[in-house]
Amino acid sequence: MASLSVAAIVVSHAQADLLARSLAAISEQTHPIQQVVVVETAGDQTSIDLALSYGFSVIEPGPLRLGAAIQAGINSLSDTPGWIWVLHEDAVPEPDALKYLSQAAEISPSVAIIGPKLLELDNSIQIQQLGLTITPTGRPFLLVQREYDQGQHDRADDTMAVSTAGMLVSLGVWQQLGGLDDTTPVLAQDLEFCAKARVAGYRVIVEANARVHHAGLSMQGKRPRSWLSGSFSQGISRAHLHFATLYLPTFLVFAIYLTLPLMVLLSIPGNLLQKRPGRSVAQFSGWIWAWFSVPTRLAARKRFRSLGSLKPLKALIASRSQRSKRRRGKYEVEPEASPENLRPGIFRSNSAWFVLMPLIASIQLFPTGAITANGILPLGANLEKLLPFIASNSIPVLDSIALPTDPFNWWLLLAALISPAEPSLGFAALVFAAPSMAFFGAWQLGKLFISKPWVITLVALGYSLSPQLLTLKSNLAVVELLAASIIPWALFFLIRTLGAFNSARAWRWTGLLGLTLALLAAASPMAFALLGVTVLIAALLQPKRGLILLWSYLPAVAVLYPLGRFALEAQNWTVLTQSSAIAFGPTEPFGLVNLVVLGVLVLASLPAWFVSDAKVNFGFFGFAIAALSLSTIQPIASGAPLTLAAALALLILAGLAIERVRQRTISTLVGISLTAGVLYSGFFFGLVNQVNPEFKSSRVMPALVVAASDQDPNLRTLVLEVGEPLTASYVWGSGEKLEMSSSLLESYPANSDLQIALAQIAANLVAGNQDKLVPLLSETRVDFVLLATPNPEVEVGISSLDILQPAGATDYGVLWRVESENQSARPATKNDPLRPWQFGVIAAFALLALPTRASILGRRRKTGVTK
Amino acid sequence: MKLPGRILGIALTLAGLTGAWFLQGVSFQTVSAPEPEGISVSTTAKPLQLYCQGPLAELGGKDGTDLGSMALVGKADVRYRLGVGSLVSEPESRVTQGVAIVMASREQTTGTLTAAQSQLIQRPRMAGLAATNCGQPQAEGWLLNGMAGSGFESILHVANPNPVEVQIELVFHLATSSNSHLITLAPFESQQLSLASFVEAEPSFAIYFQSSGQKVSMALQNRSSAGLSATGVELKGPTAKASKSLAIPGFQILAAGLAKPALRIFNPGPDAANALVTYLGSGTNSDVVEIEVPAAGFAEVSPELQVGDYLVLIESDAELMAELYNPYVAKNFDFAWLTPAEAFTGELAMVVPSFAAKIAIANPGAEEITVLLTLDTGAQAISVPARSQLQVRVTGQSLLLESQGEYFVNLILTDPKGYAVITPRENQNLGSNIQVLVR
Repeated sequence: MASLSVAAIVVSHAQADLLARSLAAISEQTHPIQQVVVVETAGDQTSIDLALSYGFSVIEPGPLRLGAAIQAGINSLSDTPGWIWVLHEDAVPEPDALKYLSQAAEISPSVAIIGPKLLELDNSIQIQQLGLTITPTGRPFLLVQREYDQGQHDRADDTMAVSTAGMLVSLGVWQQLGGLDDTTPVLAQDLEFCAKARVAGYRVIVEANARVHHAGLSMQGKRPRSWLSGSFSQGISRAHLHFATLYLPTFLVFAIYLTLPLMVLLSIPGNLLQKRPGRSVAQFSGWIWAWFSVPTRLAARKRFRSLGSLKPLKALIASRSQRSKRRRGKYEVEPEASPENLRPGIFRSNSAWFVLMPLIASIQLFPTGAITANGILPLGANLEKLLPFIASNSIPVLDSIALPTDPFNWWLLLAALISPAEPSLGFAALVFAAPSMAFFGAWQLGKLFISKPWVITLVALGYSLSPQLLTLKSNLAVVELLAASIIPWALFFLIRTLGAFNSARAWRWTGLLGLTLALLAAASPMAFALLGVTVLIAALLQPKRGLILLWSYLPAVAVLYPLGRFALEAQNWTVLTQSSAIAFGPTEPFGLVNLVVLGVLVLASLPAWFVSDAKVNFGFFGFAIAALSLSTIQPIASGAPLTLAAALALLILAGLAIERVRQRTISTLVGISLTAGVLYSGFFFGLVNQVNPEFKSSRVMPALVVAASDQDPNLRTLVLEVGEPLTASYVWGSGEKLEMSSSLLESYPANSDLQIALAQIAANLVAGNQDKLVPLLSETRVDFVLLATPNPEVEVGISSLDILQPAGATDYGVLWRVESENQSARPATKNDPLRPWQFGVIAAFALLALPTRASILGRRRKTGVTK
Repeated sequence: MKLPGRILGIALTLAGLTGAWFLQGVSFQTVSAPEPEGISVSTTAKPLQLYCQGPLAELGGKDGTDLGSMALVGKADVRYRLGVGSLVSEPESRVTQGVAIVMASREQTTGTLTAAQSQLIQRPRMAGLAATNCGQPQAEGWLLNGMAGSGFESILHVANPNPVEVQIELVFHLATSSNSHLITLAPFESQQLSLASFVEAEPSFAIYFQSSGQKVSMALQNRSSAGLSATGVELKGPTAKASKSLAIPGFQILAAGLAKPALRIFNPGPDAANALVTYLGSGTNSDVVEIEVPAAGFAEVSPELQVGDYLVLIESDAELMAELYNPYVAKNFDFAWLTPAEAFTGELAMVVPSFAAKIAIANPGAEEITVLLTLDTGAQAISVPARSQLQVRVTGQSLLLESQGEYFVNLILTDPKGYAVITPRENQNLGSNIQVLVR
């Protein structure tokens, strides 16, 4: 016969459905309950009626917080019980739950608080909580989490704290400790209360036989945000700071409060690596909250410590092994079982060998130096020299012009990261590898839809050796080529994000997608627009991953920001369609080759309507039509990447149709025909008619000028090219490099007084007139004169000037050194204050994209345990 | 999805693709960048300097027996025309050696200063009329009309009109090879160089010269003989610059049946070129010949033309140079090399040596042009139809041509004892209206 007098306090907040299950379970308890009081803090009438229908007491104290609500319930009790059983409306106890809790209370008189085993409400074999504690820094820590309940923890044990959901607590102790403190963050209230009990000399235990099924609305973010005063992550962050304030030594508390901003900043990379970017936001808000509530935290600390020594807590803090076990446990999730995972990969199917074909097709571009054909300039000498021109707002023309550098410079940065000591070589390597990148990307994309490796390989070869892509390569349309090479990757990452089964993986794929979209925007803003719309539609159709997916725009926005800002200021939106000074101009979107290739692909892909999913058909055909339509809009730059995007979509659909051909003879014939077509294209468009890349050294000025510029980066060289008209270029430092160019310079040519002075200098040089030259040179800094085009007449004229010192004939022309006193430095340029943020965004997405254990496999890597 | 849905899908796909196809018909605005504009700058040009090579040189003495002898013979008549400016140095009208004419002037054209020299010579081993334009010294140039082999002799006149020493590299381009030679000239020094030892008796050769310092003056003297009889002499300055389009006005078949004219084309480029040669006859038939010119080599053809006047037009896919050898017979034999003329618009001033003279004005363009010819006796407007030339007799000491259109000119001098053609060149140092594109 049970002797413990227990009253149940059920705190409800407008969750009538859950409350119904909870009250039904309470009414079936085998242990008698003296009185059940339902405290409805949201005033929900359905909940009130429900409670009354069970004959339970109901109070409506208004929107109280948890501690006050429980206290209100206690105050409304008709008789004073020895114990109170605190329940939430999302907690559903099993019939014997209270019985086991009571028995535990009766056995140990020193026990003041007893918690049940909390199980997932909708997955009753999974443990949700089995006691609470903290880490040494004060962070709330669940002792058991996400484990299947196999009775492995079924023994009563001491713990630092238990959840208020299903907590049986001695009313005397409750009153002695003052109940739950509502100035404490919600997720630390139970911890603080139980810890107080411990400090006051009482025991807190978990009775595993008492089972309560708990929805965990707070932890799942299903409570109103006001309940936790923010998100769950913010709640945890505040709980951590609060308990650290209570528990840690004074000097450490002050040190933490002082270094909070730094800690928040330092934790950002870690959070990104763990694919938990939301945590940084929570930590940031926690910092602000902590700073603005210091007196409250310190008052809580004083109250807490006045109860007694903290020594009893130390033994109950989560041990290293417990924390380590918990970290490993995070990765113990269901493995992905999507169909594509069951298909052979590019390496397992030996299809990777076919990458040799695009490599052979671009063998003439094997990188041996800087590409200098088609107006492509070498890149800066090293990463350090190239970096200032990424996302810069001024270009070194004349006395510096306030124009944004090309977004394509982000590709140059990638090249510099590949080869920091020789970025030109890295860029040449990127161009050389572009068809191979396209092959791998198309293969990965094809794998998501097509099951037969030979068909996927054909699709990938069809894309990477398509006449359109190889024509770009052969014509050295490097900007368009690189854009086309990453379109398959962007689609692949998009689909992987949509299919990711946990947020860590979704964040990782979003990181990769974001970087890919940024590179696409840097090479072909129109292609980015197409992919951007595709991402938006995908986000709307799949809201589960949509919010994460939308973040993928951020790097592209960062990349296009300077150009966008300029377009806004100049009210010229067409500039947004061109990303590089070396981009090709408009092309004929429906030329003969395009017509033939696209016509064949359309014919081959139409049967896909009969053999594959409508969603896939609508998606890819819609994508192809949109791409072809967009490819016709080319006010400045070529729409070739968009044509290739359309071809890719049609290729996937054609692959889907081909793999369903059941008759071996037909499929063999189709395979042979397509292979022959691909080989022909590879030979004719890949190997024949290749524009000579004119590989050269990355030095663009005579060695003497380069050496002098190392000593004085401000030096200027006047480069003369004799012709009609005479061209005078005012070159900074070691010469004009690709990263210094801006596609806007053509439309917005420089207009400076310096031009007049330079024109006069050039004219006096070729006229051999020293009298006028001397004052001009003293006003305008010219350290060297380089006659770039051989012209003995002009050379003789310049040589006759005493003020010039002959420096010899070089590979770049005839050079003279100017004996001038003018040593003026280049004007200081003010970069956009948002420039560091542009780099920050890219770096953040790079961290997100970095693979970690959780994001690669989504499950724990099995070690010795499973052998 | 059911069959109707799939068929609808196909229909939508085809409609969408057709729509995309039609979109290309919509004219989306293509933005073209503005053409960069040059800045016009004027500065004080260096004084305009012309150089006349002086008398002809005779190798081997009067009888040709004085080995190693090289001497200037007789006097050359120098005639010049002055515009606005101050003459720094004024030459004699008859000179026994090379002479420079220097004039300081803000605006520099042939109207400022132009000069020509002529010499009618009648010696046992050298006879004929040699007349040439006195041009500006050059830092580099080509002489294409070299003649060697039996009955021919070439002598290079080199002069340094500067107060500093210069080194000149001479590169002899022969039919199958080339060789170079370096000469040094002291300040104001002139030399005459027999080319026999450099050209290996090749009938055709070209000379490229380049000065290492100041500009120099060059001219090639050619002499021909038949047995012991002198059959002509000429003195010619550097040829016109290589171009894809050349025009030689004033070509006249003067000695039908005696010796054939010869068109020599030189291709200085690294690739073989095809030249289309058009002989536009005035009152007679025209002819068109296509000639392949090897890389860094010559092509020489003898046009089969009826007696008459011709404008020779040469068009090619590569930049070429040309000279046209034209024999002459009157009381004496003589010959001249006709050089492609320079294109003029606006004003051109020339001096006329004291021989019977005709000016050949050519208009290779597609539209008729009007040229105002001003002589000492008065002015006349001449209409030159498209793709044709006119020859007008001129008298007096100088002439002035003026036209809005583009025209080409050669001055033909004839005498019973000789024949010469003077090709005018613009006289200008860079200084005024220099177009500079600043980047």
